[in-house]
Amino acid sequence: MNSFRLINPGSIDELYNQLSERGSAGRIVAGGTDLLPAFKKEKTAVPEFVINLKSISELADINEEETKINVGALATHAEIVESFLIQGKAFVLAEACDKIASWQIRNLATVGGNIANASPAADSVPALLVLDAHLHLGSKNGHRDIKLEKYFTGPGQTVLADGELIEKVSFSALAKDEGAAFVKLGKRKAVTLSIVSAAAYVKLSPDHLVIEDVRLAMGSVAPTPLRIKSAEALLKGSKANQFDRQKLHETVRKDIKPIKDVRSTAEYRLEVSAVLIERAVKLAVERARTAGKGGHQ
Amino acid sequence: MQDKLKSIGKPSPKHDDLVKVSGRLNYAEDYSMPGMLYAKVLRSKYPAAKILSINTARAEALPGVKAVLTAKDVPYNNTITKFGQSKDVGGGFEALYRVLAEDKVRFTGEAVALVAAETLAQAEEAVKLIEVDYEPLPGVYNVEDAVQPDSYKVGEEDTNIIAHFKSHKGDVEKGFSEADVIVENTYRVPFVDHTYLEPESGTAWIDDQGVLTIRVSTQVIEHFRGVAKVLGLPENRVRVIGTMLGGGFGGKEDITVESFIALLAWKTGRPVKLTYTREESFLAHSKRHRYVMHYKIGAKKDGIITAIKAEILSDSGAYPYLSPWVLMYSTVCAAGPYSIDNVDVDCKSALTNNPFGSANRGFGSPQVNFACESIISELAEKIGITPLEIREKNCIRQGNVLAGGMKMDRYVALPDVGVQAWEAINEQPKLKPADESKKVGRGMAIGMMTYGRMTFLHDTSRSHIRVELDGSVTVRCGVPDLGGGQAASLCQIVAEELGVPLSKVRIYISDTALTPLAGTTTATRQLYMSGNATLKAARVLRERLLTRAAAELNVTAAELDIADEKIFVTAVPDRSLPLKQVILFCSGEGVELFHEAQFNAPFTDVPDLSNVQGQVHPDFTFGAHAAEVAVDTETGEVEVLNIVSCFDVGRVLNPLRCEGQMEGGSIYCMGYALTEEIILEDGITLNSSFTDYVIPTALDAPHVQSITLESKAGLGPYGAKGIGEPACNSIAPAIIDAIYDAVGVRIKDLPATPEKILAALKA
Repeated sequence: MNSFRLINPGSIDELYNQLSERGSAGRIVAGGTDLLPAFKKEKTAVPEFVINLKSISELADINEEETKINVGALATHAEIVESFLIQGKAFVLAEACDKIASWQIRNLATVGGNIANASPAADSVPALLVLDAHLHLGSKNGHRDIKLEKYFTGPGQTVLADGELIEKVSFSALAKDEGAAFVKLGKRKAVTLSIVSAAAYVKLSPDHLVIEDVRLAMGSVAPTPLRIKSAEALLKGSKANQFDRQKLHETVRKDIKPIKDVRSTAEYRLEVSAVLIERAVKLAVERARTAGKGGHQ
Repeated sequence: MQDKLKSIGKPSPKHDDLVKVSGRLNYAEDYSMPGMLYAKVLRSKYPAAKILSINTARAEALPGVKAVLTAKDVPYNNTITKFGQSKDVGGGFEALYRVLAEDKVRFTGEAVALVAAETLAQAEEAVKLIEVDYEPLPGVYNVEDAVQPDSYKVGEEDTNIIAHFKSHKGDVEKGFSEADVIVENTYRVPFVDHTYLEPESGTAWIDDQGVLTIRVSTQVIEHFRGVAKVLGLPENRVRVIGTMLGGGFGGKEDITVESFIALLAWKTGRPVKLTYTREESFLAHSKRHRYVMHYKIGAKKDGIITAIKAEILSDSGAYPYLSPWVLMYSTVCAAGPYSIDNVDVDCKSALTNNPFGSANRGFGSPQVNFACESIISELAEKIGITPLEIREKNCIRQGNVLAGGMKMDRYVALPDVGVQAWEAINEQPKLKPADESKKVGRGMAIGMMTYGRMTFLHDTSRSHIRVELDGSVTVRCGVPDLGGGQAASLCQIVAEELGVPLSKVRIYISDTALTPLAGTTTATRQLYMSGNATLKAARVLRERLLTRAAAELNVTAAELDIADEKIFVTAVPDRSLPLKQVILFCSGEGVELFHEAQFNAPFTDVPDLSNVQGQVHPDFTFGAHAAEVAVDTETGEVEVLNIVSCFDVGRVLNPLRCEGQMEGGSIYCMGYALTEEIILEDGITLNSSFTDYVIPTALDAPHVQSITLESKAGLGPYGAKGIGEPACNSIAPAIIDAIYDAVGVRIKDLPATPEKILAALKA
């Protein structure tokens, strides 16, 4: 078994000093649910230093600044699922986080880790993509904000620089006439990796008849989770309860590049992707219509 | 006496339930020894390769490494498998057991070398330093290829076929010519894993008498004889102590870690522990065999079946292990629990360079039951009768003769179990899903599965009971407890017969040195075999106690009964003596307060393998499953909404345990129907983890309604039959039938994944 030195920085400043000092000899661990099994199975080289974020509690905060919601990178999936703020104003994120793995994993795994690990199957990511989330990155040299959409470059690959980490993810709270939804197809109901996942956000016209704005995203259908932009273009301005199903299915197929793996063939992913997008859109529309009436948004 | 049973039939929790749920029970991995070394196994990375050389020098030089062993270090590396049978059966049934690969490797994950070191990290490191020079060989990965004469040869023999059994009756060609409707299909089932929670684990040490002692998670403590052979030791110098198992399901019926830790402990003189990782467990232990089954069936317009033909091919993987035994079960059950005049069954098993097949709950029955029940349901539909009707018209009844020639002279609960399961699932109107892409369907299947081992193995079991002076009772029986309550049932029998509360009975199990050998916890045999041995011993003691009390009460023993720790005159219950007082009389007068009894199953000869006829098994358990599913027509996903399991269990000893088996069995093979398979690519397992080997979770498991019928017609104590394995037998075809009912698609290739269903819907 490979051993490493665990570093527990007491503050953000100390953390950035450690990250800068250790350079490539150090790796950040948050919940550890991806990293430790990877060490154990020797899928990831064990670094000399593992820098533990868990004691920096300010990175776990979930809060609201006017209409913006901030979710600290260390917020666990369980905390997000149980957050009244998220449930009330960005339910789609709670919905996605609730479908990740098991209770035990959700109690440990963090949203920052789910993003940073950059798995094409990360369930929180399509939800965050349709919320048009931004990442707040920090390092010893300062901070920068980037759109989540621009963050992923490949499976396990991101634009994160050495010495840099995700501090929080931010997005706008959903307002009146807006709704969003996440749906997932796995091999069973829980403790399952997505074969395909899909999320949709819609903003309806005040009379709820027209989709004024829409964002769609999917997981497990390309090297990274991604927005489905041609389908967005297709739906934007269409009737909320009567969009062209056939065309939507054709368009979604064009936007994705699924692969065959141990969970599914590429063909099956192609078949069901549009089904999932369609279901997410329908659910998002329904939620937008009941927004502010006690239903999930 | 059956009307006033005090302990039998009561839902008492097991003596080990509390320690288990509170996490206090010690499993094999929890035990350690002072000065213990840690072992690790080097496994083949090729499914088929010649071993040109093995260099262990670098591993041996690593600090902390105390032993590195390869095949040349194993005194008897090639021996013959035995599974505690009382009689050698030879022939094709007892096959090669090879401890470490020699000359060539036959499957990915085959053990090539062993290491023992001071720490686990050192052992893991040392394994990586062993240099094996392999020359990859082509191998054969498809059993249909493996049976061809010019195929790659997996072992040292000039054919890959290791067993070929046939059974026939009447004239199938004549039967088909008389049929109005004929259905012909090929069915396929994959290799599946047992997925017990507890991976293989054990610790071996040499005790102060020089006895090689192995504490291990096993279903078969009788493997001490096999380990003795491997080391060339007398059998009484090897002792196996079985721990409580975190599940077995047949996967711990073969030797797992025993020989490895025995060899390392013997070599180093130190205690040695070995526990497999989950990934290693997936690679190293047996699988339920992959089968290819070609079935043809014909019937008259009225639904009477005129002929059935089954050609079955089993992929035994890299080594035979129990494959021929499993194939014999398939041969007997291939034509199902039906009375058919013309039958032709032809079963073969062949080696491939896949993981090896061996015992897995059902032992060759679930495979053929899936094929047979599927084709029967399809036949019913073609004729235009219901799945229940065709079974009512053709199932065997008491007095009928099975396809394999065994006359069913005991009570047969067919078609009752099928009728009750089907009625129960149809009690509620079909759910109408809110989502219009979902369709609901219902299906059913029946089945028969044996309990007790094949009668030509001459199975026996022993149990020892001692009455203590304070009225408590100690039982010793070498039964391994897999978690099914195998030990607790014996306590209930003793409590019943000796009139003491269950809390006053203590049992010691699973120790080849200190408990009488009870045989394997396999073949759904322990309640039948060790239950009867225990009952026999208890009745001898009971008779002694009654005889002594009779003298005191001036009656005959026949006039007395025991209950609530009193011996009393049955007709005048007030005339009684405290049990404890009678025990003290006996003790003072030298009456033996202990007894060991042996129970023998019926014995037969090895059947004619070219036409298996007559008795091969002691008896059968008959059951049925009905299932209700919702199928998503846009994604192919299946949700099982309800399951009904109905079995004639003969007699329920404990409803909690009996229903536990029926619920567990249903979910076990619900996974077989829908999600489970070892995914292989040229002999490489692609899903050796719980991430990608998909078993149902609690959220996937529907409500299971268990209906127990009590014919009291079984061969076990109080008329009990066995339920452990039969409980999983017919759920897969019931689910597949329900999918057909929902969306009109029949899946003939398990598991019925969403992908297969969607493709069939679009076809």
